[in-house]
Amino acid sequence: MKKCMYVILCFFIATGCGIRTQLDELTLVLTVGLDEGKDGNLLVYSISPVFNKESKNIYEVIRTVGMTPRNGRSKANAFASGKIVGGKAQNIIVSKTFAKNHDMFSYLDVFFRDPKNSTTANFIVFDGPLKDLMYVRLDDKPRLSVAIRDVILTAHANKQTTKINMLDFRRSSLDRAQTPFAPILKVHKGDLVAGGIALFNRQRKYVGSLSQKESPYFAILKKNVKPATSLTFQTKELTKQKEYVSISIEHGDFSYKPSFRNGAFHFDVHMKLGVIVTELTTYIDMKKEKKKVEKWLAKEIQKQLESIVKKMQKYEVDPVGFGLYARAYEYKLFQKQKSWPKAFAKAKINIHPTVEIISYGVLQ
Amino acid sequence: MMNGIQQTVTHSLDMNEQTLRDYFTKTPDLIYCHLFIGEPKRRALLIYFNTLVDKNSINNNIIDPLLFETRQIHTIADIQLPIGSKSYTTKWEHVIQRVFQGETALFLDGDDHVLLLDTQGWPQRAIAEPQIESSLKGSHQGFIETCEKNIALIRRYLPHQQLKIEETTVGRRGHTPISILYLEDVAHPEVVQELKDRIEQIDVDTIINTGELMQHIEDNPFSPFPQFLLTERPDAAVSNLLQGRIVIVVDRSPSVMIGPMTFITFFQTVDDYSTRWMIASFLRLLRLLAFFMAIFLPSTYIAALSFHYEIIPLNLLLTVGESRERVPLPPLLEAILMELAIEMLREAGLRLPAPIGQTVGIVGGVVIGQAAVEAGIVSNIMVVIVSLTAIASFIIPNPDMSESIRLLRFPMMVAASLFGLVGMVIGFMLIIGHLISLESLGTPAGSPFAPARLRDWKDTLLRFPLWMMRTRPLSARPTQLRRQKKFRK
Amino acid sequence: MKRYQFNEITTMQYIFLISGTQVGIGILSLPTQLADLANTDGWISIIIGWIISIIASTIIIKTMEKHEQDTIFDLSRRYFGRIFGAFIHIAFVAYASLASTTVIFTAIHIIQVWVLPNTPNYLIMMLFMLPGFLITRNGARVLGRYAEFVFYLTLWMPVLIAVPLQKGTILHMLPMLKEGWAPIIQSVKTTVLSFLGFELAFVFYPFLKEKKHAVKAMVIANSISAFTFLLITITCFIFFSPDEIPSLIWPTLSLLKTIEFSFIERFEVIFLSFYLFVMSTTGIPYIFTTVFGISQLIGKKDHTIILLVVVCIFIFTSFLYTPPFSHIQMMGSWWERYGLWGAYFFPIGLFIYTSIARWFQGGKKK
Repeated sequence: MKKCMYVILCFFIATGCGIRTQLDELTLVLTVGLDEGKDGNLLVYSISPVFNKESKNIYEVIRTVGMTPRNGRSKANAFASGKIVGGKAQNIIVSKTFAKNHDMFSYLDVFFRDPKNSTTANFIVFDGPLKDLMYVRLDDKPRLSVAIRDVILTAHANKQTTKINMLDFRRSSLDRAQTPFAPILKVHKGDLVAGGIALFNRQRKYVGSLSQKESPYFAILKKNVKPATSLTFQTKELTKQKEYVSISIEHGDFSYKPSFRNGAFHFDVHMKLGVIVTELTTYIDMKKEKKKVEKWLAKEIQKQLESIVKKMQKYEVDPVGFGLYARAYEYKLFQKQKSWPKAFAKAKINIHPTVEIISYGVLQ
Repeated sequence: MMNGIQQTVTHSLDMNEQTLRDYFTKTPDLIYCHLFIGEPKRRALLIYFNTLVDKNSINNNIIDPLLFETRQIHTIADIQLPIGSKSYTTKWEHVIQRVFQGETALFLDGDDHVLLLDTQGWPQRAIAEPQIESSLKGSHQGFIETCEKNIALIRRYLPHQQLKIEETTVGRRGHTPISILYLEDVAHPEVVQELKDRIEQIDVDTIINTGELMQHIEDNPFSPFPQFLLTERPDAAVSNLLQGRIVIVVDRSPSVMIGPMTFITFFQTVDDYSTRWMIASFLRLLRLLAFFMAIFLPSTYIAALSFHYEIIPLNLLLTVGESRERVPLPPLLEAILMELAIEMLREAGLRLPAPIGQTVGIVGGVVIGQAAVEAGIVSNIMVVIVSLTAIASFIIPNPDMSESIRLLRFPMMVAASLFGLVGMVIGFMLIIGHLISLESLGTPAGSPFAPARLRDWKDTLLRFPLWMMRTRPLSARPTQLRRQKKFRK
Repeated sequence: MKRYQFNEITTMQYIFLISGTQVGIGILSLPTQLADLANTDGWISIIIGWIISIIASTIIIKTMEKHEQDTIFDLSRRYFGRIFGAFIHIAFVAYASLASTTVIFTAIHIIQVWVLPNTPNYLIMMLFMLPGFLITRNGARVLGRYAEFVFYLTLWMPVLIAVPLQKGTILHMLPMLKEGWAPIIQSVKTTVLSFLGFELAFVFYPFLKEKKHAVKAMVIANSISAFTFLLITITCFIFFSPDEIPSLIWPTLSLLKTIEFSFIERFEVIFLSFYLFVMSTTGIPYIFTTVFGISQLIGKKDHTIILLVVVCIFIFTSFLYTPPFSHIQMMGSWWERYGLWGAYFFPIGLFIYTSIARWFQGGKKK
């Protein structure tokens, strides 16, 4: 018995067993960029770290032209210093023009089909031609891929944009009850700026965007207020002066009630927001006027929320996922709709926020 | 002449002396001391090995009273000597065996009985602090090379009539005396019998050390794991006796053997019971963690670098990538190189006298660790992993177990480099598959986990408060389960 | 008289052995199969399947109780005579060998797809056969201990699966009974088959030390499996959207892909490697049943040689044949078809037959 085992063991060692994917021999693609090239071809950029201390750059950018991302990657193998693998991809970036003209989903298939690829990479839309981003020189930041990821994550935490990973993107793409969205990245004066949200329609094509200012409200609609969503309002209505008040939303209770009346969906959205006043450039007597301020804030927030809902309805997209509620509570009627985004465009959405000021800091 | 000693002692002193002189040729340390004793004088012969006896005792307690004996001596039974332990025999076999053990034989002319006097006194070490298993709070007495003293140390803890001692010898030339100690009302008779049968079957020249005896009677000689516990601590031996296990004391060896053991008992120390239970439980968990680290840490590194780079978070991966960048060796070779270096350092330090041992430590730690990284032979992460592994393997309290674990690391590393995590899991499966079929004196070594004995879990991964340990562990198959009453809520 | 005195297993070992056999490869694809048929209401059919499997396993125990020292192999000979008994014997062995082949080849396939994409088939097979041989060789007792040990070792896995729950939304599951009961009843067939494994009670019952707990043990074993199935299915339904699940072959693994800790990422690689433990507790009892059955058939007491032959056949097959995914699916469906008969209809028939036979024999005696 023992001899048998030795023979097997020797055999294993002799054959060398399987093909390893040894770290040293790999080119780790951390960022993949897809852009439209000439003649309808696909431009595939990939950024990977270079560990060699003698090389000047700490990362390399490879640009190839191909029919699909996988095809582009195969071609890129000819340039790279090691076998290209996507297991640690952090960002998948597409340019806005590319996103406008193509169904994103079919191009992203490779990231889901091959189980070795990472599904937690961030999906990002870049405003402008991708080469601006790929060859940007960031002297004060380490690796471009890490920098991109960090910019998106920070901006997301501050609600200046959103974030969506590949898995979530796939989920919202396939689900009939919602449509995908993605954060927008820009290069502004040689620096990375993340802000705003790209909206995709049912066909996974880019149709429009929410601005950086609208992003916090989008986060509120997605019930994503933690940690601290900051908003700033002009107090013109309240104090007749062009002063500002900043609040930060600490927590919120949300309820989405769908109903179906007169051939259209109705959504009653109630939200109770607990806020902290973080900045007041004018004097308001908080003790006395707390109720008044709360009401005014609620109205301001409602105005903003309604405007972005309008915008989404105009584009016929439902990134917030109103459809999920419609499906969960009005299943039969939801199933009857041929296309949820179209039904959503017709839906009536009433948003009733109430604001409660939890504290206004250490000053009166 | 072999015939001579198989027969009995004769009446003639001269013939007896001749028999002895023929038997012991070229034995200068055997002393023949002729005496005339009593009134009227009768010839007597005193023989002993002067290397094995206490000369003071012979001079003062035997020769001195004999010389001044004034009574008439008819038979050897008339001789009165101030020595407590004495016996009579007529068989040469006994005489020779006892003389070899340091006793003194007294022959009287005209009598076929031989008086054997206990005058043992060979060079022996004083009782000292245990070297390998030192303890913080436990007793500072360790076993020494004399069976009697060792039993004395155990007796001091257990003055109870149920502590039974059975003596036997092993080895055709060495006749190593072996004592089997157990609590008769606790230890399972089948287990005791099994052990005695196995010891009886041993047919060797001699047993130099307890470790040899262990290898002769263990259940599975192809197992990497020890199946008996060797300890040099009397308190550990007693604590195991009380759990229903059997202790085997081998003369001339400073460690005693305890069986039947289970796998988890190798992770217990005496200190566990004298510290408070939370701390003891923490230490137990720490040891378990150390066990897994010592086996799996280097192989995890190899598997992650060779197959599963994805599982390393990006920031760590970039660090690893940077530190691996200059290393020309594949991860397996890198790891084996460093692990072997550590093993060599350890082995070198073990055999060297203490002052030079320190030098080895410095050479190893500074020169190999630091310089190898700077020279770009190994990555600094590897050095961290190797040192962590080494520390982890030193935490395992039992040296035998610690060595087995260190050995298992190498096949695991090979498996990891061939099949990554899958190889490691298969390796782990093999270890488990082996462990659950392993037995120590016919009791399963995987207990109390497989077969599960939930009652015994009180003293495994966690050490429950002492007042909750009311029963002896089932894994030792005690016949008397209850250890203490519920005297405290 | 006890025939298997030195190979007895405790009630706990018996429970873990049975539930270990039930939880295996099926669980990785179960949510998709259920979502295909019954959308997100599939979990209800798990509960129905659980009840049915408890009934079936109780019937098995009740049948076996009549002759406590008999395995199915002895029983078939006792009641059906030599020729027909041997036929049932061979059928059961064939069933077990089909099950073990399916489990092993599926495990190899999954490992190749997810963890070791470039390693050839036969190497993984050889690797699997090492512990398979070591553990099967020592008989039911070691098998029981192994199942027990693996249970403790894998306790952390359900906890891990529950981690992505917080990222999902319960909205995906609502409304309950969205399409009525019809699709749920339809999918019961799938869930009933995922409970396959309790039929090995036919083989392991005589080894059980305390026979009076046998029914209780079967209920507990089935409940452990049902809990695992429910946990995974519900987690998948909550995490993935109902339109997405059918597009995934192994939703459980896709789910784990998203788990990230600050010190480790891509948990599916670790999970799947560790999941080999769970798969081994499915495969090894079937291998044991095959080998044990063959050795009983040819009247050999020691099954080591036959085990060696079986292991060699497995390795040899893997050299010649690398099953594509469609073949593996086909094997699975064969197993299920066979298992439906072997584990549900056959025990009921056997129970009725043995009862009648005994009644007649009793009548004669009177």
